[in-house]
Amino acid sequence: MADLGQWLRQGKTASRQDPVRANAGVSPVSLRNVYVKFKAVQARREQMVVALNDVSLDVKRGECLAIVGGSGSGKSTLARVVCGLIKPDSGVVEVEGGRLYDKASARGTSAANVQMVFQDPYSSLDPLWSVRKSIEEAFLLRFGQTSDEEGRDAAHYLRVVGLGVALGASRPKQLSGGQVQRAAIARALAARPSVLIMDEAVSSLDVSVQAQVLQLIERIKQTENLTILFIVHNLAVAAAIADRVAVFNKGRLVELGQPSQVFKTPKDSYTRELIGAIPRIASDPTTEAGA
Amino acid sequence: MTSNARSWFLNPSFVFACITIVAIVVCAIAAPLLAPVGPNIQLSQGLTTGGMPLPPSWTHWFGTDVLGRSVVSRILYGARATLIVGVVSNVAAVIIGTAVGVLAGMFDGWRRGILMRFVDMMLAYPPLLIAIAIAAIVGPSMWIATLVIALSNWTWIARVVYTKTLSLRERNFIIASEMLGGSKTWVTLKHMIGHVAPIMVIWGTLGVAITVQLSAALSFLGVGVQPPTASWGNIIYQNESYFTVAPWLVFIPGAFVLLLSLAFNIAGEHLQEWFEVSEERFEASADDEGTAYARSGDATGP
Repeated sequence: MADLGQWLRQGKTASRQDPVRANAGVSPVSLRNVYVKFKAVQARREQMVVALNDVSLDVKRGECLAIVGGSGSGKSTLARVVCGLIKPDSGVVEVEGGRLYDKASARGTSAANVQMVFQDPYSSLDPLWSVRKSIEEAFLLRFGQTSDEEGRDAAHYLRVVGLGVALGASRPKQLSGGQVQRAAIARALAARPSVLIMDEAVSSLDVSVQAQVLQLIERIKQTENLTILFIVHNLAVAAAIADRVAVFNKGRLVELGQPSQVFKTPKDSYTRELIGAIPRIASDPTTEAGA
Repeated sequence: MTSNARSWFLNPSFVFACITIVAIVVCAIAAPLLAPVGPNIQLSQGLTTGGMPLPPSWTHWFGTDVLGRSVVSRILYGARATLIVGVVSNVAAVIIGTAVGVLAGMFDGWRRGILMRFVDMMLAYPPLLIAIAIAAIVGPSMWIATLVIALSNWTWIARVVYTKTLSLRERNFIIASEMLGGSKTWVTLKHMIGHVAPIMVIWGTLGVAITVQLSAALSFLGVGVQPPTASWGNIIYQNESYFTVAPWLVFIPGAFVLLLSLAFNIAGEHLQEWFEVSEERFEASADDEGTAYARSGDATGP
C-alpha cells in the first residue's frame, strides 16, 4: 500500500508538474465561442436566460485576470464552466491544453489543474470536519498520501496561508471568516492546481480582512506559480490585484485590458457605466459646516 | 461536554424519557430475575372460584389473565418481544430509508426518478394490510411482524434523507470535494453520511415510538408475536373479550405501550431540537467574521 501510495504520488505529481512545464506556451485557460443558457422562471413564466454569449478568452500563464461585471453578467457561470461544473451548450473550453467536456478527458483534466475558492468561506469547508481534515482530503483525492505525510503537508499549507498550525484542529465555526477563507485557500492550494479561481472570495469579508487576504493572494501567486481568475464586483479590488481586467455584461465579454487602460480610458459604454457607478466620497462635511 | 450541552441534556423531560427507556430495557433483560414466576405458568390460585381473572392486589400487582398467568411476569417478558420488534424493525427501516434517500439524492435523472417513484409506491400501501397478507401466506411470527414494520416505515425516512441530501449537494464543500476528484461514492461516504446521521438518530429514536405501537397493533390483530410468547400487544389481543370484567388486562399493557412510546417520542424530539440548534450555531458563526480575532488580538491575523 505504501508503494502504491508512492507510485500514485509520483504519478500525480508528475502529471501536475507536466502541464505547467510542457505547456509553457499554452494558455492555461482558453475559451472559444462559449455559449451557456439556462431555463429560468420569471414572473411565473419559464424563459431561457443566456448566461454566457459567445465568449472567447485566453488567460495568460501566471497572470491574475479579474473578471468584473454587474449581477447576472455571467461571472460565476464562467467560473463554473472553467471548473467543469457547467457544460456549455456550445463552444470549446480548454484547461492546460486539455479539452473539457470531452468524454475522454473532462473532469480528470480539470480536477488536476483547476481549483476554486468560494464566496462564503463557511460553506466551502465541511462544518463537521477540522480544517486539517479538509486539507488532507485534497491530498487523499489527488495523491493518495498517508496520514503522516498529509499531517506534515497540511501544516505546510497552513503556514503558507498564514494560519497557525494549531488552528488545523479547529472546525470552521470556531474560526473567523478571514481564517476560514485562508483555510479554504490552503485546501485549494493543497491540490497543487495551476489555475485558481477566486469566486467573490473576498466579498463577504470586512475591509481590513479583505486587504490581508488580497496580500496573501498576491504572495501565493508568486510562490505557487499560479494563474488566478479573480471574480469580483468591487472595481477597486480588481484594480489593486489584477494584471488584466475582463468586463462582462449580460453574458458578453465587452472589454479586456490592463487595469490602467480599462479604468482610466474605457472603450465600452458599459464599462464607463460601471466606473461611473462607483460612489465617490463627498468633500469633508466638517469643513463645510465650519465655514 | 460543554456546560451548555450538560444543561440541555439534564432537561427534566429528557431525563424522565431516558430513565423510562433504560428501566424498561433493564426489566426486559432481567425479567427472569424480576418476574415472580414464568410468563406461561398457570397459577393454581390464579383465577377466582368463578374462573375469572384476579384483579390487581398485593399478591399479584397487575392481577392475572384469563389463563391464570401472572400479568407482571407477562409484562416483564413481553417487554422483550415488544422491544425486539420495535427496535430491530426501526433500525432496519432507518438503514433502508437512509440508503435509498441518499442514493436518490446523489443520483441524477431517471435513476433518481425511479427510486423516488418506488418510495411513493411503497408509501401508498397500508402497512397493516401488507402484514395481514404476508401473514396469510407465510404464517404470522415475530420476525414477519419485524419485517413488515421495517418495510412500511423506511419510506418516511427515505423522503427526509432525500431532501437533506439534495440540499447538501448544493453546498460548496460538496462541490469542492467533487472538484478535487471525489467520486459520488467518496462524497456520499465521507460527507453525506455524517450530515444525515442526525436524521438517523432522530428517526431511530422517534421511530421506535411508532414501531412499538405498530408491533402492538399487529399482535392485537393476531399477525404479530404469537402466543404463548408474551408481547404487550398480544396480551391485549388475548384478553380483549374480558375488557368489561377485567379492564386491567387491556389498560395495563396499553399503558406500558403508551409509556414506552412517550419516552422515545420525548427523547427523539429533544435530540431533534439539539441537532437543529447545533446547525443554527454553524450558520450563526458566519455572521461573526472578523470580530472574534479582533478582540483576541490573534497574532496570526484573520
